[in-house]
Amino acid sequence: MSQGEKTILIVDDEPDILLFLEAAFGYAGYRVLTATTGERLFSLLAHERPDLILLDMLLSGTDGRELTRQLKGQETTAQIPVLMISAHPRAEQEAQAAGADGFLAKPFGIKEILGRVTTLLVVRR
Amino acid sequence: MMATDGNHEPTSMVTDRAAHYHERRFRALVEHSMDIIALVNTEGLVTYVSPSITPIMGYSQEDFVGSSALILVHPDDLDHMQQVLGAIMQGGDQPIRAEYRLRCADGTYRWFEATATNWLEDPEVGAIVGHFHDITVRKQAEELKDAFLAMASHELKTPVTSLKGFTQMLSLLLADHPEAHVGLFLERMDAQLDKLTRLVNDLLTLSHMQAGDLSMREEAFDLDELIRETMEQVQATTTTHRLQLQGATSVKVTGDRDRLAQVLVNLLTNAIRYSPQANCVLVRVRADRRQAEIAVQDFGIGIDRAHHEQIFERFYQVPDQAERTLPGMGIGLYLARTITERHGGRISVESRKGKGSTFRVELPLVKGEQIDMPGHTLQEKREMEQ
Repeated sequence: MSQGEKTILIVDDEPDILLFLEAAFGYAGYRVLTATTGERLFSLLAHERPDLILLDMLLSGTDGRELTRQLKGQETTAQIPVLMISAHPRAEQEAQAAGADGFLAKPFGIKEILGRVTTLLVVRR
Repeated sequence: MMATDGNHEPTSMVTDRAAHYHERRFRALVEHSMDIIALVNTEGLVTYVSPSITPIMGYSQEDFVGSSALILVHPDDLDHMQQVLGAIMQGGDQPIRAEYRLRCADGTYRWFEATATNWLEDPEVGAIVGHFHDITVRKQAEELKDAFLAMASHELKTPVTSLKGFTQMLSLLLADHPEAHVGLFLERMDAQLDKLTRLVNDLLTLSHMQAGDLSMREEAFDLDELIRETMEQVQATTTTHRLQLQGATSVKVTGDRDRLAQVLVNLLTNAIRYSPQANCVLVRVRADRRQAEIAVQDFGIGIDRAHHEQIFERFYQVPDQAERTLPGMGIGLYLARTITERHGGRISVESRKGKGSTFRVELPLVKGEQIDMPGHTLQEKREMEQ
């Protein structure tokens, strides 16, 4: 199930969600980086080039939509696919408007999120 | 001068006094009303406002006389109120009701329930009589409740997401566990978490319906596939009943796939819940060129005809003693009906006490008959077309 050392950067302010996503993507053969804030996300991006960013829409402190706009507005990060997740099932349009490449409503199954990530990585290839 | 016999006053004086008495009596009624009462003339200008305008809105009576009846209406309500005023002006003896916001002297807005009756044709009244009841407190409570429902259901999903994630991770890691029950238990936990998610989604949908902002997607999808998927999901939450599918529609439906799945889930879970002695739920589907039909039949306790209409109402619970032991949130059928009607469809029930129930959803297939009027139920749509 190895993904040839693809790196996923997961941003969510809920530690338990980070924990199981880290386990799930690790299990599927990805290299996983995590961040709980927008600040931490950008400090990681200063020296890391993830293949995909998994981003919670409503982070405490910063809005995931605003972070997506910033990511898509910077030349160095614009090409990284962003998959946005939210507990609000109808937030898909807002995610798209912010420039996200995909959206998944919480709660989701592990197979579902792994599938979505694989699809986004294939499209980008 | 009229003749008198010394004991009686002239008739005209009696009439004057009676009129004066009536005038005083009605003036006292109007002036001491807790609500605002106003008169509006043919040009839509205010000719009278009762004194309660001062304690409620902070204006004096004179501030208003001669100004437009719509002068204080909230900008967001103005279009609607112009239509309402137009309808009132056109006449008809039925009072017209509307809920809208008016600006108070301190610049804040208050909600009013207004009732207006056109008495312009009546020479002795010659006005539109308006009655304004302050419902601000009720509106604020409703808004608070809707915001709470939306927030609570959002908050509930975060722990459910983690629980689901950990459960599925355990399933993966313990796939080869020697104790056979481990896999089964984890599967059931996962199915129950799906059930919890659906309940939370129902609450969220209800809060959107109440707030009047229930959005509907419009996408074409395979109806049979949706039915199969949904039945599989619900099947995973029960060990007592077998869900049996008969027939196929072989059609694509245009609408909101997730919301229509919600309709089906609610009908299936009801069928299971209200047939504790049975072991099967039958789903019969078919379609012709005009419409698709999904019938969910159970072999359970059934519903007395007396409740057939009310069961689709919000929070309605059949009041019989036997049903008390089978509670639900009382919103499933309400959501099912609202969503079905928003798709231009119809939901109905056939049932007799002790003989099981069949719930039938009919969805139109003809383009142009569906979702062309978002925000309105089929009934409202029909009324508009008339």
